[in-house]
Amino acid sequence: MSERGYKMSIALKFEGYHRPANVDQAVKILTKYGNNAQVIAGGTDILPRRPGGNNAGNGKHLVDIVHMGLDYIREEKNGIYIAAAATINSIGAFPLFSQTPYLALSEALACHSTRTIRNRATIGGNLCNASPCADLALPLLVLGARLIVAGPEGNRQIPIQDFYVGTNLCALDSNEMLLEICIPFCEEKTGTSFLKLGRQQTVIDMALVNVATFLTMEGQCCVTVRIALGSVGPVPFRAKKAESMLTGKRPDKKTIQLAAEAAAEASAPLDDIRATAAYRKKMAVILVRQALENSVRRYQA
Amino acid sequence: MDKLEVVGKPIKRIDGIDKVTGAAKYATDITLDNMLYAKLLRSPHAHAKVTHIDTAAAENLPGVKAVATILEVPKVLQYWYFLRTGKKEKQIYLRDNIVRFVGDPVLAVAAKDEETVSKALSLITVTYEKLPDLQDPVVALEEESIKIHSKGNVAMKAEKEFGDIQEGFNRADVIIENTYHTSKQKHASLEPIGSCVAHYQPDKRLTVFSSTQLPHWSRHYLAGALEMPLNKVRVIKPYTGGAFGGRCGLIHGLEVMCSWLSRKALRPVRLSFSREEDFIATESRHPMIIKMKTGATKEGIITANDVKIIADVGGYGTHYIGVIADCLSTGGALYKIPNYRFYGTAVYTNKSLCGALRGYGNPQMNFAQESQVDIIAEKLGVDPLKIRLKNYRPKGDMDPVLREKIQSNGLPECLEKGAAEADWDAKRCQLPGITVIKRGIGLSIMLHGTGAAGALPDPASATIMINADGSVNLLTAAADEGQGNRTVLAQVASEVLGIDIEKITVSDTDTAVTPLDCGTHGSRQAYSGGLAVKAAATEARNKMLFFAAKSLGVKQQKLGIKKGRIYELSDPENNILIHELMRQNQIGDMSLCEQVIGSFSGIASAMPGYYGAIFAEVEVNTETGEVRVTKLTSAFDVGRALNPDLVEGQITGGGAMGIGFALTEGLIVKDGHILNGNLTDYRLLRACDVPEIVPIIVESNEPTGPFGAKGIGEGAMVNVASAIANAICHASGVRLTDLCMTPENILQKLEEKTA
Ligand SMILES: Cc1cc2nc3c(=O)[nH]c(=O)nc-3n(C[C@H](O)[C@H](O)[C@H](O)COP(=O)(O)OP(=O)(O)OC[C@H]3O[C@@H](n4cnc5c(N)ncnc54)[C@H](O)[C@@H]3O)c2cc1C
Repeated sequence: MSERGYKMSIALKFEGYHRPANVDQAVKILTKYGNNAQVIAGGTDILPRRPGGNNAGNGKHLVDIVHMGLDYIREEKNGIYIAAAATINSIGAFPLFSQTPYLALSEALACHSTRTIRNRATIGGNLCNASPCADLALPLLVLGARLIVAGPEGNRQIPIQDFYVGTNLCALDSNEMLLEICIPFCEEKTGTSFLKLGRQQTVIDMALVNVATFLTMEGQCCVTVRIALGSVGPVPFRAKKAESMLTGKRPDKKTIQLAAEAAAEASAPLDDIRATAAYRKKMAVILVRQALENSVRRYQA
Repeated sequence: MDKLEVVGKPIKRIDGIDKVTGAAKYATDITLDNMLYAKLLRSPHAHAKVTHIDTAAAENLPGVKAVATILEVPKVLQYWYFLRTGKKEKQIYLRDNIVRFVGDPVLAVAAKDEETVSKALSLITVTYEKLPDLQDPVVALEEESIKIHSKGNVAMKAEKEFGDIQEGFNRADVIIENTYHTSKQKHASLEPIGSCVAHYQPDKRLTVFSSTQLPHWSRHYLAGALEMPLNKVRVIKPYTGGAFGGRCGLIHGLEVMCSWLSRKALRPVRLSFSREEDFIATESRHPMIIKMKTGATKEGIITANDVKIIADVGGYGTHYIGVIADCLSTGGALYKIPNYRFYGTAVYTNKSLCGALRGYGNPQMNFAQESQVDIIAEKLGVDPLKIRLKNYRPKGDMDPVLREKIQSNGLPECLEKGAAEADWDAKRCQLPGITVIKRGIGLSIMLHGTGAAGALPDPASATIMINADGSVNLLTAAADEGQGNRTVLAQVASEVLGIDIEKITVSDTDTAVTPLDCGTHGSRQAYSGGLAVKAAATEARNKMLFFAAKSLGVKQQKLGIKKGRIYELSDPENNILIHELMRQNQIGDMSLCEQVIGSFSGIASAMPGYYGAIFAEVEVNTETGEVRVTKLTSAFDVGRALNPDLVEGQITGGGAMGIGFALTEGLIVKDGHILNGNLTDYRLLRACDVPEIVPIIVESNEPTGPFGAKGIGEGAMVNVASAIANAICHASGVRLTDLCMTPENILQKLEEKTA
């Protein structure tokens, strides 16, 4: 473990920089410094922050977790395990994720930032930053991911829908860190989709609205339907009412439209300089509808 | 002149190596011995009177060397229009206790390091008496009880009419009237605006390093503000990371403040704005409200145009006179509209100040006028390309504003070549498509002036000195902001002198060394700078020929120069190498000892217009309202491309900036505060966002230009937004009149259309 006072050319300043060799050491440091410590993985959320911006005062002791072997992706009996510090690009290269049931995930990975940032940015950072527009939250919400968290008392699991507590606030305690994410296997034909709307003429952008959908069918009717929306509320969320409007129903044009409207109804977007709330809400309808259509098409293909 | 050797070739930029290796030093890189650091304290209020400033605690802080406030340091206004007369020159300087926008400088502190500066600033208390502020130019125009400047809120009113507007409308079969709004675009140059180092020495000399576009005029204003003689003020312009008009004069709160601090402390001082300071407190494009009424006959001949502009100047006026004048001169001269009426009003508001930005009023004006022409074409069922060919003002006509004869105009060729590349005829007939994505194509044209000869004091100078080894030093103050004009000037010198470009060194821009040049503005340096260099080089060439004639025993007129060798035209074997001749002149012949020097100083004979046609292809998503520009074809008549690579660079860059103006950019101001003053929220196009842009160079050979050249820099962005608006209309059937054009706007118009 190295500890040195670091002064970076970027506006961020911090007191200690720690490189624990394993999870135990990391948790010990987190426990020691409590609210004065912060995990850093790729740093692509932490470093661009300016003093006065959110979380800036937090980083008095940075705990770097990228050298602890937390970058694996492996299939086990009950699902796929992705380590928290796996980079976006490495996950994108995992062959299973290019199969139909996981397309929502690979689509989200492909829309995340730029190739160079994706070489550093991690899945754990994307989730723990708890931004309402984090792209990876949405496929993980519809895929029913579980988060495995390490703390002083050992590991615990949190279903992803319980992970988000508020904007930039997740369910981790100050002495905990995210260890890995488990995505349960999907049945082969599952149709999923991820869509994102940014600002016009802008290839790479944080979302104005992003959505993911998941759908399985039996005969002509939907069995399991999951719809998640991002950037249109304090946290990414599942639109349960909209889901239930499709469950057991034929996913025809009208039903999909009504479900999409119900999903947007559950949102509570803000007005900001990038778009008005009204526009975001309108777009939520369109994106959910298109994502559901994609899911049905993919299921039936 | 016989076949050109250097001019017209894509010569590599002479500053390339310095830039890519990082050796190039920009103003903020300059560090002098004993240098102090300075920072401004800026107003948190949009409009307030500073009633008291308490700097005692700050001044007592160890390490603090100087404090200067607006109570003593004058602000510099109304650039260069008031250079001309001594009386008006006084009006350039304003010393008062009023702050007029959020971010307006109040004072500055210089101290031994940045931490001490910050500490000192926190110890200063400024007491403000808040004044009611005006954000809306239309309100400011009427308001009399709140005065932003002592003379009121109207900075200027201009009025001009040629022909008979009423008669023009009487003759029209179709008359349309629309109101357009344009945004507060920012330069967002790679190097933030606002960096300088000032060094006032005990012998009363001031040296200022500043990335200004106008080194000599900056010296002029600085000397005035500090009440110093011109010869004691030296402005050095180091490498500059882009300017786009943002450095067209002194920067508000920068050079004067920094020099003042240096004079107080008798030490060098560096003052550098952050990106955020650049965004909130340096100049931007004038937002305009343009009301335009246009009439045409059913054959598509435009008979009348009635223009009313309200330009939002912001808290201080710098370039508004020129910007308003440019709206008239470009709008009025592009088409041969016989009856034209123009009202321009510039109004102060309590927003950050507006000034020069690539296009200088023309992008706003062009957006309105080129939209109008398209609307008329559509109403009459005339092809938008044909209506332009019917109405444009050709070579040989008089420019009604400048009262100069148009000596070159390559617009028809721009339209023809652009249409072929863009496949205009086929695409214009294509149906927009049945999916939610509608495709369309639109075009627009533009005229922009090269330089400002006749309209402004617009001098250019150059000195060529030929060395004993046949190499050349070219002295010029033609400030290169990154566009590459130093390279182009070296090409011109090389061509005239017959000396290899590798042997030509172009000086840095330094008012103590380089002769008078008004600076880099108005797309002028290839033209005006080129003319000056060409004249200086011609003088040097003639002197060389004079000496060679003696040495070779032939008449001067019978000699030619090629690749460093002077030879007899009819007998090339009879020749002498330039470096041999020069060594002989300077060193060998002790009775002579003369260096060949050629010089020129003066003004260009004209202000030729350069022209362009842009074809924009777009996709409009009718569900989300998103527009995506998929291709721009930009054909520009530049007279002659002295360096085609650099011309294409300008066209491509202008295209990118124009798409930003059309679709993504613009400062958002709420209650006087700029909400998107950083590069995350201010949406510039990045490389990956820029669509295919096909530059097409058209060469009409301007007789007054050096080797036929005119300008390109500003024009390349001028008519991008109008072409895109016209393409959006073609694709979706909705006409957008406000910039930037947002998806929400488009959706709203689409809804109105179906309702
Ligand atoms: C230019 C740019 C573009 C971007 N584009 C996108 C985009 O399109 N979509 C998108 O979703 N995001 C985008 N981002 C945001 C960012 O890249 C992602 O959120 C990224 O995945 C964060 O990962 P990281 O490893 O860099 O996080 P870090 O910056 O290292 O950390 C982020 C936060 O998570 C915490 N953290 C990290 N790992 C753990 C852990 N294992 N346990 C507990 N806490 C942890 C940190 O303490 C911090 O609070 C962009 C960022 C930039 C700079």
